[in-house]
Amino acid sequence: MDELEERLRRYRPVGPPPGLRARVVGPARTPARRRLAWLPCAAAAAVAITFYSLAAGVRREVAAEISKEETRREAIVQTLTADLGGGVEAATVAARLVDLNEATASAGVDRQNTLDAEIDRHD
Amino acid sequence: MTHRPTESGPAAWIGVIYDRHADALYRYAVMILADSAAASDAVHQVFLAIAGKPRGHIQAEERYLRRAVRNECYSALRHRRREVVADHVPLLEAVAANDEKLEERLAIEAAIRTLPVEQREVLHLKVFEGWTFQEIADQLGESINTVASRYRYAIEKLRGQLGTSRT
Repeated sequence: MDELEERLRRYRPVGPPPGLRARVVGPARTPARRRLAWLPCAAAAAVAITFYSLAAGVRREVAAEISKEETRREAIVQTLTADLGGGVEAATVAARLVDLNEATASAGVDRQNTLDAEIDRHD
Repeated sequence: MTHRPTESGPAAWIGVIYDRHADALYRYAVMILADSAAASDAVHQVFLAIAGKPRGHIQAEERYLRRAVRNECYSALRHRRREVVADHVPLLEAVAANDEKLEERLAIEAAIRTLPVEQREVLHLKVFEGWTFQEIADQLGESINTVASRYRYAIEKLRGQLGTSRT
């Protein structure tokens, strides 16, 4: 045995703390670290469920808006079809007219936005 | 450590096993983990697990418990987010109460903490428990050469840090 081993053998690892026996022999309890290990998972699950619920609400509102818009468009096409004398051809022309009207309205909004920006720049 | 007469049933059985083995198991866990709180958790966890087993279930008690503590410690090390570099609770104590030199103990502790866990474990079993390389190899399921190498590396590293010469 060399000098280092002799020095090491004068020591030994510390023994168990006095409270450990009571902790082991007493009522079965899991260590605090393990007891709370599920907390981060539960918090993550709660956040995920909350976001999913909020997103589902928004999805429902958007779907309702789209459906309302489609119903309104259908009514206009039907009225125009009747005004144009009815029939398949009239329905096609009516649908085309509504499409053109929507495209024009959309372009108008874009043009108006461009104009507003121009005016703001000159002001 | 004494067996408390008030304990009965499984508590009494666990108490007896605890009194017989906890001291060595805890010292083993402290050396593997280099962290006294984690060592307490590991030993506690092992006793919780055996408390749920039928009394006659455990064969070769000491070997079984040592293996269980070792598994628990390595599992704790895998889940540990950072290496414990400074535990304020001492890792070592003097075998003879009046033989402790504080500076020397702190230097040895600091050097031991820098060893890889596998080397710390072999060092513990060889130096502090007095096992042979063959016994260590059997316990760890490693070859005797691996165990001897780990011990040699550990001793060389400690020698380098503690400035001790060969005699």
